[in-house]
Amino acid sequence: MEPAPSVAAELWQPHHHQHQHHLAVAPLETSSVVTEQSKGSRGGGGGGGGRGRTRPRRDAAPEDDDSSKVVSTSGGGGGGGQDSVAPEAKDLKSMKANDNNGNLRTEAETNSGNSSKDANKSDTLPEPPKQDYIHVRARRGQATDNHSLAERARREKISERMKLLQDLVPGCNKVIGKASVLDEIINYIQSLQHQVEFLSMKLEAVNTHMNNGIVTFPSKDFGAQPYNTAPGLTFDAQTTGEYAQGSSSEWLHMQTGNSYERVT
Amino acid sequence: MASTSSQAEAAAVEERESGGKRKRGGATGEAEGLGEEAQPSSKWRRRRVHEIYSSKLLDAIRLVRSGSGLPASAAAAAAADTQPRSRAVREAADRALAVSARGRTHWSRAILASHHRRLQAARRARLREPASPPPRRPTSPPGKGPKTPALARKAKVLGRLVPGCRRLPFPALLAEASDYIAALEMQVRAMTALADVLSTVSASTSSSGAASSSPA
Repeated sequence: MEPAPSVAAELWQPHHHQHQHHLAVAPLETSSVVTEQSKGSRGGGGGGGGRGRTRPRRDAAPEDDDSSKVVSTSGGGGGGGQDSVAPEAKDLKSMKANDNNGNLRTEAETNSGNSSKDANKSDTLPEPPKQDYIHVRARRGQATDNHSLAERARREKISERMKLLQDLVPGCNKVIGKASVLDEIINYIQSLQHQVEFLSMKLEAVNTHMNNGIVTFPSKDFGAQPYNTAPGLTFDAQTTGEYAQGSSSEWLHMQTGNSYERVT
Repeated sequence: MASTSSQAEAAAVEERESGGKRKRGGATGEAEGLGEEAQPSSKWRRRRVHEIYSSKLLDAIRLVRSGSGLPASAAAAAAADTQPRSRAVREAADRALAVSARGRTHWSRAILASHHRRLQAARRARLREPASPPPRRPTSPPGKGPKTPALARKAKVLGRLVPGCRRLPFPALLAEASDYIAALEMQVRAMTALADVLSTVSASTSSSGAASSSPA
């Protein structure tokens, strides 16, 4: 349960440069083995947290310390044994990650002893990581105090959502900058709402005309009529065309034609 | 009769669904363990939700069409009464969309809540005179956050556009907006297809009716 920062630094393999959810190491035993446990029901599965992780998570009992390599952790509801909280636990930063399990939180450990400007390293925790925490590595040259970490997590969350929106809104990839993207989004939502408005008026018109049409419902010899008069009506045998709309409308025209014939 | 044409509508809608190509299958996106869909675009592109929405919309339109015939169906009737007829279909479509959202988003809850509130107000207005609209507090931004005022203005505009999201914090607002956009796209697709189906059905009924009734 003693922190061994030097040992951890040795064992640390800095090949993850992801700025999000990452690694935390927890030397369990007094031996210089660094193990990570995030044991839990959804240990392995939740290890991703949605992003590509460099290391798979390992379900390990808190007492396992066989491997001496660093294993990544992820929140995912699998908490390690939270029993041993060392008194010299560093202040843990918890930042919210907006992934599948809504309760994932990212944590960055800052060792008060070590300088926090260590490149691509976060320091080790004496105790196993708590449940629902994801450990984050500080980037090089970035401050790792609480506020900036929280802000950084918040900014990353915002930028993630903006990326999602950019994918959703067509033509949003070309603009750069949050303000322009927001402009595009606003325009797009407005245009979609106008379209819905227009379509609802059209449906209403169709409704009223259908009311008039139903009254004059003929009883014979209209089997041929719909085929000739309905616009754009084709009776192609291949209904599974490439264009979804076209194939479906053919189907439905056949259906309506058949239903009409059934009446007679 | 009217029943036959409605059968035609229903059959047409069903066939349209089976002909279309839409996403199906399990959860796409990033969620793994819970199988929950995190991506709004994949959630709103499934065929199932399209079918659900289309059938609900069809029912709502049928109710609107029948007018205020049944006072028991207070939902459509009250919506048609309390507001001008022109907006009845639009409101019904939005409500159907909110129901299809399964209530996990702010905007869907806001749409249904506002409709519910209007129903209550209408009922209260019918029963007795005083109808009290819920008071609204003015919002006063305390200070400037990390966002510049330009972004904050746009965020406000966005909050006004998405129903029920005026006072959400920015990241939540973005999430709501993405889900709302996906839902609106589905709504446009469904309503377009429905309008096409109904227009061809009504065109064929009216034309065949006119053609066979004239020589008679």
